[in-house]
Amino acid sequence: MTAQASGIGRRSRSRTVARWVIFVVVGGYLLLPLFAMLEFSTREVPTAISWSRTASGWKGIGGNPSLLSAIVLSLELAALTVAVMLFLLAPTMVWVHLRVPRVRRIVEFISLLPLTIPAIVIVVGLGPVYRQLSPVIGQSPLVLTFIYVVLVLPYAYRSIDASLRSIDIETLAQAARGLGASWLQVFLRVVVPSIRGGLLSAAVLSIALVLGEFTISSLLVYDTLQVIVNQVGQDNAQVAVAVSLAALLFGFVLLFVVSTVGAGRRRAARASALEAGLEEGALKD
Amino acid sequence: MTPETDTAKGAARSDGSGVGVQLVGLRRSFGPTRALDELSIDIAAGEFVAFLGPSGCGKTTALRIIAGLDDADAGQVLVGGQDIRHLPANRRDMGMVFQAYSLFPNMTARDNVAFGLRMRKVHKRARRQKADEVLGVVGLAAYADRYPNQMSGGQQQRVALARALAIEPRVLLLDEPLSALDAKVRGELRDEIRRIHLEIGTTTVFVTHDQEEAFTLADRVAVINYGRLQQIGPPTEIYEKPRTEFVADFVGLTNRLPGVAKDGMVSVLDARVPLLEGSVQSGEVTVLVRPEAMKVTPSADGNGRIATVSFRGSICMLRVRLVSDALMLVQMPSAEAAQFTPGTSVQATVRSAPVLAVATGRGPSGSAAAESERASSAGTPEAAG
Repeated sequence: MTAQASGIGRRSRSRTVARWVIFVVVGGYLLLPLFAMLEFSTREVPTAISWSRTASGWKGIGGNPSLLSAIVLSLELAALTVAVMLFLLAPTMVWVHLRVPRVRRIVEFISLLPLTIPAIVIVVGLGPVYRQLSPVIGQSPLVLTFIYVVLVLPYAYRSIDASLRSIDIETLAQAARGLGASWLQVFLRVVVPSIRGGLLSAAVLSIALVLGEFTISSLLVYDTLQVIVNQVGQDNAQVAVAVSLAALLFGFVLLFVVSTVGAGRRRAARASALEAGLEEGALKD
Repeated sequence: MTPETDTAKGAARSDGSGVGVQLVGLRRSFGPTRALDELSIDIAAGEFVAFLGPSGCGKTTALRIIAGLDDADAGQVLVGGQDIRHLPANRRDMGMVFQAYSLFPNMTARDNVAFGLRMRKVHKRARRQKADEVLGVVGLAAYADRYPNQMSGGQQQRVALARALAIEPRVLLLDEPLSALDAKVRGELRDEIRRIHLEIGTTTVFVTHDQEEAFTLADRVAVINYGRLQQIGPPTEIYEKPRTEFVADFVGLTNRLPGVAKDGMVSVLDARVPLLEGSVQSGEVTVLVRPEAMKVTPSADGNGRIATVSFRGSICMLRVRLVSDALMLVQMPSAEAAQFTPGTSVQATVRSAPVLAVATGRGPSGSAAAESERASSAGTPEAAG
């Protein structure tokens, strides 16, 4: 019995060690480049490694007006893309799930197409369209929103679709309809709150994608964050790396907030359910 | 099997709230499958009617058409005498409880119950008060602030029932609300539904494939098969006086015995018994007899032998093998059955209660022996039902 117990103990210890090894290796793989970026962006002398540090690269972000306007533009593009994507995609997907489920495969296929088409092909195809439409939609870089909505489609679709599949949306909608809700009320009061997690994920992925997009904006000659970062990098690599790191950290913070909110809700629900279970046991309800 | 229209008779209470519901010649097809075939049912105000039938018989389709969640190809749905087929689901004023748990996951029990009132623009305080009141009716006043994922299945269905009742619907529609629950909770909620109906008296349509549920709850039971109404009536009438072979087979247990019909009577196992309405009136027939309508007495030169005796508490189920090699089931009080053991020679006959006779060779097995063998091979006599 003792030998068996010590065998189980050994297995448990080796599993723990394996977990830590995997954690350290993967964590190192992901964090090392970020640490290198931080190290480089804070060097006293860019060409030499030393202990002396400076924040001039980071301060340079605020001192570069074109960089600041690029950051604002990319954030505006991200916000617009999220808004247009949610406005178009969420109701469409809910409608397809509820009313025309037989076309779900087609919608899924269409939404996944941007994954298979290289950005350069999209630009070559859409460039003439933009030129034709420029008298109508103007020259503002915000028109990139239209392309970005297409680009984020596969990721946003997946997030929302997974959310919709996790609930019995048809029964919920029918129950709400039976209780007197219009289709708009069904969507806003029942469906959207039920798939909030999926919508948030879609939004975060879209923001990350827009903030990191370079090819299309560069080819269409719009000064978005990554285009300017590239330009700044020609003159001052430390500022460019500092901005890139800041953009990455911004994405991480967004993801962290979304996952924390979701986990917090799940934890609260589990705790309450446990409490409810204990009370039920006591009351023999 | 002719479809029939039944008018609500004395079974309905006229003092209950709610309105009458008439389904008139409803037809609905899904591709080549005809889900409803000229279905006509008349439900009186305040009545509790159960739609009973096997899976795919069209009972849920009929309910969804009443609720406005589906539309018929033809026919009328009259509620309070007015055709409501043109009305969308959200303007029909009906409460529905679904088979699947359908509480809104983002709302507490109270908010779920108050949802319908909110849609009707009832003031916040009034709808909170009403929601708490209805939660009290279903015994969940203490659970008002819980979310669906913090409640058991039975509690969720009770909240769903409260939600449907809170809007004081003209008609309450229950689509197999108990089928996802375990046996104990199912029994409790069944009693709860009956109590609430007696208390509130709303016209209620309950869809189920479980005859025990239908018989326990309903004022009248509508048996449906292949989208057609087979029979509608009080549970005792459905059980004791089935009008079609399907009803006799689907509800309870049935022995299929050979007989000869003539002049409204049928000769079966040396007895002459009256025929029920809907029977074949002459010639060789198959007689459908309930196990409790059978009688056996010890007899050295009888027409059969006891094969098995199954104890069921207050009653016993005897399987008797006739000299013709057919097997039949006999139900009797356990005290009376004590005298029988396997191998006992008996004289089996039929009591004088009216029976249904159908043309010989029809039905799933075509013979009493095959039917009983099927029951025997399934291990339980219920399999024959």
